[in-house]
Amino acid sequence: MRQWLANLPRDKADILLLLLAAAMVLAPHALHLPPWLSAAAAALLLWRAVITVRGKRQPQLAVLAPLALLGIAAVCASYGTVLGRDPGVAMLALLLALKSLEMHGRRDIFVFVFLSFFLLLANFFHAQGILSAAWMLATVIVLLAGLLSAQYGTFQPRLAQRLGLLGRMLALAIPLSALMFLAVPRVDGPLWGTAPEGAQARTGLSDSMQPGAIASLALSGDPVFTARFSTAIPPQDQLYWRGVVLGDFDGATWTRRGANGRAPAGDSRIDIALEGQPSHYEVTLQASGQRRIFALDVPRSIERLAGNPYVVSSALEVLTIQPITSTVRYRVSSQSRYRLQANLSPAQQRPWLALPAGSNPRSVAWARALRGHGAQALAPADAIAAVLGHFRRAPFRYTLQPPLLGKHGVDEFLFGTQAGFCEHYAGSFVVLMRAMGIPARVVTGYQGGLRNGTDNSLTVRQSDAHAWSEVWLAGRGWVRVDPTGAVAPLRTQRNLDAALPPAPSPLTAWRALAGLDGGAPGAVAAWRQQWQQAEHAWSSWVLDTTPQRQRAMLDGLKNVPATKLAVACAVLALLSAMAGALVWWRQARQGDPFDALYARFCQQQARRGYSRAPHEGPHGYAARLAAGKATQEAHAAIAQFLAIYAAMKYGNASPDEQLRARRHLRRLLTQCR
Amino acid sequence: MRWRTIQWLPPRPWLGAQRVHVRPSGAGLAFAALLLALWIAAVNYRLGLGYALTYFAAACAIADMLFASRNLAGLALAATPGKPVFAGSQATFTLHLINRSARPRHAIRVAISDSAAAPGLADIAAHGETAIDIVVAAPQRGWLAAPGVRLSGSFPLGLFVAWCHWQPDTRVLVYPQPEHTAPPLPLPVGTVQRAPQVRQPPTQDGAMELAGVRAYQPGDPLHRLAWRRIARHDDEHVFSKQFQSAAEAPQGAARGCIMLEHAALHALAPEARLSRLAAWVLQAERAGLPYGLRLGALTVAPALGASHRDACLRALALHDLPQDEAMA
Repeated sequence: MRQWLANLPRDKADILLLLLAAAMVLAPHALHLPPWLSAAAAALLLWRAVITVRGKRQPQLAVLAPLALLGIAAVCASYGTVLGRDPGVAMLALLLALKSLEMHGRRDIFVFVFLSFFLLLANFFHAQGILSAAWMLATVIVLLAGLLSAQYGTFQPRLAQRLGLLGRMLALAIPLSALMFLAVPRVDGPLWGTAPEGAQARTGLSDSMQPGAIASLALSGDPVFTARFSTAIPPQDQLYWRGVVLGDFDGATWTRRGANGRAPAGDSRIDIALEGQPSHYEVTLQASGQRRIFALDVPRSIERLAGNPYVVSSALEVLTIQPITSTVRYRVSSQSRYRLQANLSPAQQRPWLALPAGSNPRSVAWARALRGHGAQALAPADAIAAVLGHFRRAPFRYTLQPPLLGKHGVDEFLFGTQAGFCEHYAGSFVVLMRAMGIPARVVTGYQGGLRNGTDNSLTVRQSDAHAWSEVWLAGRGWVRVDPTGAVAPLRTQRNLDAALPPAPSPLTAWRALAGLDGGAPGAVAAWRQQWQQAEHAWSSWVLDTTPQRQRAMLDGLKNVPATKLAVACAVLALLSAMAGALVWWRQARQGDPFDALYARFCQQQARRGYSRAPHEGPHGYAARLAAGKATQEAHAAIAQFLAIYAAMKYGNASPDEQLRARRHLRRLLTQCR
Repeated sequence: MRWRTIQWLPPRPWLGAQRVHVRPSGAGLAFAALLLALWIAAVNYRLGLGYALTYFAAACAIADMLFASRNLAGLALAATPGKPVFAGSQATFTLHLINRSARPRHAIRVAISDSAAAPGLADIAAHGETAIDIVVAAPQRGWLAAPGVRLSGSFPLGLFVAWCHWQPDTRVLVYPQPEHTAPPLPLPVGTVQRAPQVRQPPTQDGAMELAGVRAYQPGDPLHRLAWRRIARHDDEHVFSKQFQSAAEAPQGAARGCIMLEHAALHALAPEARLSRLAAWVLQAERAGLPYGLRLGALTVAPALGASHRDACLRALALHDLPQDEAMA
């Protein structure tokens, strides 16, 4: 294989290098493009590779044009449109693959490489992690190697030498780009339009909840945010990251109140009393494409986001004005002891008591019977305890694969399947509460998070998505009740994996191996934690680069004390002087290496008393030295040295021979003394 | 540094970095547009890594600019003229691109300035030297100075073009164009006309008569050099006096010596005369007839051989040219 590659003609090798670069550009896109498109692109690239290796002609335009039209039509059919970001990326990917079949000259190679650069950037719509960056760097290197190879004249050195030249260019380019990255002022985008569709279509909590919605999230290990605490991290079962409050129920789906156009009227005032010690932390939230930022129950203050103000609804949801399309970071302080809206008028309670007429009749009847009537009616707190007790006692199961439910989902769940995930428990609990006349609502968000050992922070993933409920008690306000905890207490005390019954499936096996079940210590888990910290640092330093943050960093430089600044300048000056000296030294050394060796030889002989006369050539000198006094071996070495030197200097040897000769001469030099 | 002191190393290269100019190529302009597009995408979608990619690509372009200029800078240049040619044909100059650094130079285009002719492509290995021939039309007799040369290259990435101009300091002699349908050689004149009497040098050749002047040939004694002729003609070309014993002179004529007379062709236009003489010189050389040449004040004694022919053609090439041009 290596032999075959080495013997490949230059133009073929160049094309194969470019095809490799294109494959590397397209590979990450395969995760997001329709499968047919990935397959088509791979097939086209492969076709070109076969054409190249076999030395056949590239297909005619008459073949390519219908293919291109077919591709456009297929993209249109897949996405329903050809406009917009994702169809655009799909079209570009198709174009790149087709362009590979229509490359004739140097100009086409430029077009191909430039197109690849654009597609490389399009990768970042989906992933901007460390691995994406490393992949980008590798891809750019292969791309530039392809471009570089096409620029050589008649003579093209081996790939290793080409990469060496590229390495010297990158040694200049990488520090330069790092400097530009840090110092070039950022523009607060977007340049036009209001809401870029960037970062859309990510998984995450939505404004509605139907059975199974959160269970699907639970399979995703994507990080949602990281919280770094400056105070102690609250206990795991207190870590309820509030997201959306769902109040409207149509019998199957929970939605946000007012989401269907009915504005929540008259309850815009937030009546809240906070007690106890606040915890302070900083949240680094990944781009979600949604208008929601998360905080622990209940947020006392949340730092303003630059250029994207938020509003807090009366249900304590924090909503930003614009979707969050880049990593954001904000400081929050929260208090776990609070009294929220302790005084609600009956009119204000009414929306939280509504149930659709006629749905889930069995559950409603069961709840009413449980609460009782008149004087025997249970107090709200006792009613809650009774329902939770029922959840605990009855054979309820906690599972990610609950059976499908029909029209009266809550009935079927409570009295039939009795197997479900948090949204089943929270949803049915709220239905039961409302049936008993206790105002209640569903809250979705995240629960828990994985502690990163050393830096006092937590990483919350999509798999930590959770739903719980809140009930309103007179004089006490909204109180959090987590019915899932009654069934699977481990879910709230540890995390999801601890709560799920162990099942020998490939998924759970993998998760165990990866240390996802936070309880398992071990090398893998430790590595995983290190990795999470690296990712956190990465997102805070590389991705979270808003103009404000950049300015703050530069302002921070201004505040550095003068002595430190002087030391830094001195170190910089020293480093640049050293770099300059290195360059000067290298330039000074740039003579013919044979002349250098000859000069050393002459000096050596001069020390022995046989200095070379200015007019003497190597042959004359050799004759004179041969007559001089020296050991037998030295004489042989001297004669050989001068013979080789003369042959290399005045003959025309190939570079390889010259290299060998130089080594030989260096060896001889030590023997000539 | 030590071996810099060795005298036989050539002096420092003179294609200094300040003589190399750089501008973006067409692909470089397209790349700038690409950078703008990447930057806009990064701003619009707030992609931190998008900025990184944009700046990285820009930094690669800057590195390319530097490397493109380094590809030319520091090159040493030398030129050697090719052989003399006849007017109407092509003169060749050989340009030597000498690389005294440890990094190879690649894909350097060598073209004649202001000429659309296809450029030559040169690669120069580290510590190597590459010779490249440039061919120029030689329409007129006389000296043909080497044309200005443009060295350019877009190596390594093709986004920038580095170029410089160089005027090689060399020239080629262009002989008059030999007349195509020249009449046959004028048949041997009866006798070789005596050259104007010059005072006989007091040497052992005393018995001989000065027969004329011919181009110096290796082996001619120093005291026979025609210093006056040399001084009058130009300093580079050496003539030696040719002596003939008085007795031999008629013999030479009998062998069929011919004397090509410029003055005898007064019916023709000046250039046509030279053309015909050039054609005759070639004919005589081919026929093996010793021939001499009388061109105004210059007389070249009859002889045969390549150097004699060259001396005659050279005299024809430089005949009546303005002094500075002939000497230049």
